[in-house]
Amino acid sequence: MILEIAFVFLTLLLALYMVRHYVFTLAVLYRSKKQPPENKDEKFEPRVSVLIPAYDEENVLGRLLQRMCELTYPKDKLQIIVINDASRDKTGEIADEFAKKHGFIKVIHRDHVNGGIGKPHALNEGLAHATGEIIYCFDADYYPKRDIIERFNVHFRNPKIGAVQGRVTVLNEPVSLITRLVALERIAGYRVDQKAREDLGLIPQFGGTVGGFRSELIRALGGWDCNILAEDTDLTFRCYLAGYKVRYVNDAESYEEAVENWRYYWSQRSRWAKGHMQCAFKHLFNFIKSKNLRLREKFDGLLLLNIYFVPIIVLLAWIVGAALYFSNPNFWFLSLWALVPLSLYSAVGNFAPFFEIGIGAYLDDRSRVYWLIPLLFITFFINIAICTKAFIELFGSKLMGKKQFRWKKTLHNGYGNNYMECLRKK
Amino acid sequence: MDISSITKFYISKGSFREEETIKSDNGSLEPLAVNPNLFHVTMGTYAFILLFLLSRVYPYVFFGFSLVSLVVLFFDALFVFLVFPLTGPLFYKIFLLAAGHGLGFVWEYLLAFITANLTHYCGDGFDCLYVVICPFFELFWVVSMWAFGLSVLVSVKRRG
Repeated sequence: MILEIAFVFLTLLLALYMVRHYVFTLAVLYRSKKQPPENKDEKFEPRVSVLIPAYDEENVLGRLLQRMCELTYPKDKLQIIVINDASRDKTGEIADEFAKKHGFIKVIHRDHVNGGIGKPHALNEGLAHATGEIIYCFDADYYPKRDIIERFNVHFRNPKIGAVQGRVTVLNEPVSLITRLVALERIAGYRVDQKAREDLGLIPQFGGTVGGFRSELIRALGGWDCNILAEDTDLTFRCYLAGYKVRYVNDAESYEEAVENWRYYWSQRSRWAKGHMQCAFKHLFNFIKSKNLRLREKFDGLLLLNIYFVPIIVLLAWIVGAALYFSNPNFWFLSLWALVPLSLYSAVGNFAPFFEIGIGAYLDDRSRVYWLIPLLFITFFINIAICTKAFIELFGSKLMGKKQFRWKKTLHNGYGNNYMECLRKK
Repeated sequence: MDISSITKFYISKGSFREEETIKSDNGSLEPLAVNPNLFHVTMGTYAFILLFLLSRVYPYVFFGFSLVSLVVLFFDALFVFLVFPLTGPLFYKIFLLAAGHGLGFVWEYLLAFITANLTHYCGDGFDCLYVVICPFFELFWVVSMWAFGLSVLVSVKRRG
């Protein structure tokens, strides 16, 4: 009886996530809105600071700094802060070379005692030197639109907007199977998921890069939490709890270099999974109790906070369902067992179902990516393993009283540079 | 790559022009919503109902009923409400829906046939294995067929 109740509960949870993705897909397909009128016309040019944390990024940092020099935003209102986080390669020298030529670029060198222990530490150090009213963050492997700051800034006219997030697309997509699959996940994650949450007035998320915060807000919140591996998600929820909103800006785009091998994929997703679960433990009850949020925001926030538990739920439903099937296969159970495969779709890939990815690709006019969609089962199984392992490790660390996890850096080899020429030729 | 070559590569190229950099193939520009083709949705719904009624007959033809027909009906519903409203000829859509529906039943029939035979020769262990992994098998044909259908429509759309 207990197993049956557990199975029904797990299946309903999976079905709930599936419905959520379906609603998002329909919303983006048929209800996509243009951004509200405050983003048009009048100039709004506050002083802004751009933080670029960099740890062993010699292959990609030059590209981003060159792009920063090409931004259309007035340079007298722009401050670029490169935080060389105790790099062991020539990252610091590349940054210094740009700083010598451009007065608006500042480089902070962290020593090997305090540096190299994680992105949030570096960002907090950068924040201490930032003088802008708005603080933007870019990872070193990114390559944004030239007018991305203007596209973001206009949204800060609205005093309720505490943060903005732009769209990320993959630069090195043709490199390997994994970069292609990550590109698909990015399409669904930004073009459909984030856009739907923005359009439906739910909880768009700050992704830690290609986005920014009001300086006063982030300082009031105490900067980035160094104990959380998903410091961006943590900041998102603290922003909402403080009564501000995050806005997703679909046409503020930036390219990124996706991970190019399975080892880095595993390492990066493990960090995200653990960090997200940490955030779920930290914010779940505060979010439910918050008086700054509407009911639908709370509901979406809860689903978002728990998204990295979905692959574990899939695994549990699968195990419990199979056990029940052999012990008591009656009709109602057979019907529910059929719901499991249906619900599995809600967890294909990085928690975006195949139809969400397919519709995202359709909206982007991508005709040659569909053959990849069935291959998402690879990342589906890997994510089940990653999330389950992350949960066990997190649970174990709670029992042992261990607080901190080691930040594992994703290395970028700069293959995206090969595609810059292609971008210019388009 | 050393520093001088990096800086030479980037700085010597000069500024990129915006119109040449980030453009539409990776998505972008203005967010666009689609005007749903409600006539096609209506026709698709009729086809869906017809297929649903037919599925009430299938159980007597094929075995492995409940899982099969529910997953196939899920495919039909997803196809009708997500693919039929998109740009593209109605004939293509109905053909793809019927093809997916047919493929689903053939797939299930073949799987059940193979499983029954292998269980007969290999013992009950194989039957257990099939039951455990069948949700994944369902996933595979639905995703492939749905993706194929959408790729056909996108190709038609791109050809104008």
